[in-house]
Amino acid sequence: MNVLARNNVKVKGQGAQPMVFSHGFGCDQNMWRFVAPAFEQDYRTVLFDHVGAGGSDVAAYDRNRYGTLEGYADDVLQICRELRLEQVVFVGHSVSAMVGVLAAIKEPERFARLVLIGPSPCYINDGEYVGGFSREDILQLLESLDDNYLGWSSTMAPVIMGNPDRPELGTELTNSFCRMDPDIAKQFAKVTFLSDHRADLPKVQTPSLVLQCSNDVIAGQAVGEYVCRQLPAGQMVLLKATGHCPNLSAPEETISAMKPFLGY
Amino acid sequence: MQGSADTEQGKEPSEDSAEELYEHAPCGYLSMSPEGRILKVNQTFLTWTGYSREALLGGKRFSELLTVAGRIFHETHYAPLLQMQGFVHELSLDLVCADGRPLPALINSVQKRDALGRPLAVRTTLFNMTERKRYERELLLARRKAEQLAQSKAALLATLSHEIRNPLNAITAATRLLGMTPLSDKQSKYLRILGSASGNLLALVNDILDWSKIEAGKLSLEQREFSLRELLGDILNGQAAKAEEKRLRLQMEIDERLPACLLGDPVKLGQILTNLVSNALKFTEKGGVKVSVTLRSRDGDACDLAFQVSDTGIGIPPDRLAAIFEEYTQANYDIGMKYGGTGLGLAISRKLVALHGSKMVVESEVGRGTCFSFDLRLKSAAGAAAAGTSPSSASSPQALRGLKVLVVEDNEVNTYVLARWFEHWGVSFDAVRNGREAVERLQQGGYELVLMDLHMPVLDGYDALKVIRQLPDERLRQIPIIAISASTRAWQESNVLASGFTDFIGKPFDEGVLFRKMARCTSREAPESPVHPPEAAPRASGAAADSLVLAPDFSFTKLRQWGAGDPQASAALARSSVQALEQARPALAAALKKGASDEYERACEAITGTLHLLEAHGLAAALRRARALLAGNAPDPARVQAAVFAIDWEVENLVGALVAIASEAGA
Repeated sequence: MNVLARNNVKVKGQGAQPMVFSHGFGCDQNMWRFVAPAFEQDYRTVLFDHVGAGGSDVAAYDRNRYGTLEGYADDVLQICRELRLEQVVFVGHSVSAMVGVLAAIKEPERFARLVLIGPSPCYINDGEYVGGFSREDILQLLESLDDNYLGWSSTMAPVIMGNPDRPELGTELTNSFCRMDPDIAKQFAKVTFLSDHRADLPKVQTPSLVLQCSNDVIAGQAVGEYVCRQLPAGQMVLLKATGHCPNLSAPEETISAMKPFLGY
Repeated sequence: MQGSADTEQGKEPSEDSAEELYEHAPCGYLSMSPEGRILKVNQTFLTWTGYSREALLGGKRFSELLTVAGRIFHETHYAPLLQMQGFVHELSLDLVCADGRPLPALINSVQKRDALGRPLAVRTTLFNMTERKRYERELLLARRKAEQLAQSKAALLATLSHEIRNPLNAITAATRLLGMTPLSDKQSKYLRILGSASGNLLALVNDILDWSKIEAGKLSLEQREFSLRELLGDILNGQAAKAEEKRLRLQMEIDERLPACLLGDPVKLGQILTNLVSNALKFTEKGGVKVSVTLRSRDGDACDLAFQVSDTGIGIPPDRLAAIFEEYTQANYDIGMKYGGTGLGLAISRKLVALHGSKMVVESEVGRGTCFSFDLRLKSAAGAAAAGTSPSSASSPQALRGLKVLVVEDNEVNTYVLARWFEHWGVSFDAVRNGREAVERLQQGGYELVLMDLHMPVLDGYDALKVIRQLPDERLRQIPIIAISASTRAWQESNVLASGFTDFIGKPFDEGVLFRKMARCTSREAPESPVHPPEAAPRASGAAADSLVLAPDFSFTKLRQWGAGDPQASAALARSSVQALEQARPALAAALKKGASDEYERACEAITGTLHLLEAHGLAAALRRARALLAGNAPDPARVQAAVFAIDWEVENLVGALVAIASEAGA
C-alpha cells in the first residue's frame, strides 16, 4: 500500500523544514486552503486527508486500525517516514490536535513544534473536568449523523438503491468538500468524541502552542486552558475569532498567532 | 412587482408584495452575520418555532437554536463548508422550538460576500421536513429489515447445505473405498462418474455454504502464522492434475524478498487463490496459468503484497467484466452450460478479499486471457520461519510405510475409512474409542503419531490433549497429534490449532491432504519442522474473541453474567456445559437411531438448562427438527442420519467456543 496515495498527500512549498497540516473531524485538507499558502515560502508544507475523508483511499479503511486515535497518529508517522520528514512542525485542528500529541509522544525526536488549534483531550464532562458535553449529547450526535450522512442529503439515493459502489449517482447535488463515507464518518465521530487522552498530555516533550477561539462550543476556553496547563511545554493564544474553525473564519489572525511561536 | 405602498388593487389577496412574500413564504428565512448572529427572520420561521422576533434578534446565534448534537454538526460540518464553498445545500438539522419541541429542518445557506470576497452575511432558508423525515426513517427501517431477511435466508441456506454435505461425505468416502476393490471395466467407468458427480456436488454445496456464511456475516479473519510459499505450493499441487489433463502450464512466481512466515488467515487466502486458479484452468484451453506474489513494499512488520492469477484463456468481454463477481453469474449462459460450476466462486473470492479490506481487480481481453489481482497487507511473523522449501511434488506413496499411528475415534465408520487408507499406505495402527483409553495406550509406547477426534465420550479430544501434553515422558509431550473434526473449514480450524494440536483435518478426508499432513507431522516428507509447533498456545487474540461474538446461533452473555466477571467462574461454567453436552450427545444419537421418543426426551431434558444458559438457538432448532422426525412413523434412515449430524454440528460449534472460554481463564 502506498501511504502517499492512501492519505492523498500533497507536498508544496520552497522551504526545507516540513510543516504537516492535519484536518479534523468533518472536513478534509481543503480546510487549510487559507492558512497553508502563507507558509509555503519558508516551509515544505505537507497536506493530507485522513483515511475515509476527502481524496483518501477509502478501501484502506480498517475498523480496527482506526478504532482509536493511535491509528491516525500512526498514519501521520508513516507519512513522515515515507517523506523522510524531520524537525516537523505539526499543525492539527480539532481532533487532529490530539492525533499530533499522540504522534509526538511516540516519536518525540521527529517533531520540533506542535500547533494545536481548538484541541480537546476529552469532550465529555468527567467530575471536575468540564469537556463541554454529556455522554448523552454525544450519543445523540452519533444518531443524528445518520440523518445527514444517510438522510435526504444526496447520499441517500445510492444508499436506498443499494448502490454505494456508484457514488457518482449522488455527486451532482452534494456539498463538494468534506465528503465522507457514512459508516466511516460515524466511527470517526465515535472515536473522536468518546476518546479520553487527558493522561497523554503530560508526556509531550515538544514545545506546543494552543490556539483557542472565543466562544468555541466544541472545545471551550476552559478546555484549551486545561490542555495548556497539562502540556509541559505549552503556551496558549486566545484568538478573537469565534467558532471552532479559525483557520477558515479568521485565517490572518491564525497565521499571525502562529508566526511568533515559529520564530518569525 | 411593486412595493407595499401601493394602489388599492395592490391589496388584493391574489397579489404578493415582496415583503408579504418574505414574511409568509412557505419556508423559513433567516439572515445572519458572518459569525452566525441572527439579523433578520421571517414570520413563517417564528410561527413554526414559536419564538418571538425580539428573542431572536437580540444577538442570538443560529447554532443556539439547535440541539447539542446539531450544534456539533453545525460547527464541524456546516460552518467550515459554508466558509469554504460559500454555500451549503440540504443539511438536515433539528431545531429546538420555544417550547422545547424538535423541528426537523432542511437547511440551505449562501454567503453574501463583498467585492473582495469577504463574507458580509449569511442567508438561510429552512424547510419543515417533519413528514419527510418520518418517511425517510421508514425507508431506512425497511432497508434494515430487508437486510435482516436476506441474512436469515443466507443462514437457512447454510443450514441446508450443511445437512446435505454430511450424507454426501459418506457417499464420496464410500466411492473412493469402492475404487480400491477389484472392479470390472464397466464398474470402474460407473465409479468414475459417481466419483466426479459426487465430488462436483460436494464442491457446489461447499461453495453455497461458504457464500451463505459470508452473507450471514458469520466469517471473520483469523490471525496465525503460515508460510505463503507452502500454501501456494499446496494449492498448485492440488490443481496440478487438472492442468496436466488439459496440458496447461501451471507456474508460480514468488518474490524472493517475501518473509518466510506471515501472519494472516491461510485458510481464507487459500480459498481465494484456489478459486482463482481452478477458475483460470477451467477457462483456459491452451497455454497456461500463472500465480505470482510480489512484495510491493515493507514497512516494519507490515508487508504489502500483490497477488496475481493470470491465464491465457478465453477472456471476458468488457461489458461482462463487472457482472462476473455477481452471485450465480457466469460471463454468459452458454458458458455455464459448457463449463459448469455454481458461479459462486468468484463472488466468494471477492468477498473474502473484501473481508481483508482490499479489492479484487480483473483485467481481461477476449481471446488473450484474464488476470485477477488483489493487494493484501499482511504482517510478517517473527516466529520460527518455516523455511521456503520448494513444494515437493506428490510425496512418494511409500513415505508413510511402517508408520505406527494411534487412532482415537468413537465413530466406527470413520475408523473404518481410515483403516482402508492406512492399509493402502502400509501404515500400522491401533484404534481406541475415547481420550482416556488413548492416554493409557500412548503410555505403553511405540506410536509416532496420533489422529484424534475432538468429540468423544469419557475424555474428549481437547481434554485428552491436555493430559498428554503434561505427561512425564518428554517424547509423548511432543508427539504430533492431528485433530479430526466434522466441522471443517475456516471457523473451527484456528480454535483447534490454538488448543495445541499439531494440525487439523476436517471430515470428509481428502486422502491426499491426510497423507500430506501425516507425512509432514512425522517429518517423512521433507526435512522441515511442523508448521505449527506443538506447544499449546494460549488463545487471547481479539480476532478469535470477535468470532465468538459474531456467532448468532448461541450467546455467552448469560454465561458471563453468571460468571459475574470472574473468568474462572465463567470457565467452570463453560467446562460443565461442555460436559453436559458431550454426555447428552451419544444418548441423543442413540435415541434417534432407535426411534425411541421417550429416551430422546430424557436426553433433551438433561441439557435444557445448558441450552438456556448458552442461549443455544441453533442447537435447540436442530433438536426440534429431530423431535419432529421422531413424531412420524418409521422415519427415513437418511433423514435420521442427517438429524444426528445436524445436532453434532451444533454441539461441536458450541463446544469449540466453550473450550475457548474455558481456556481464557488459564491465559
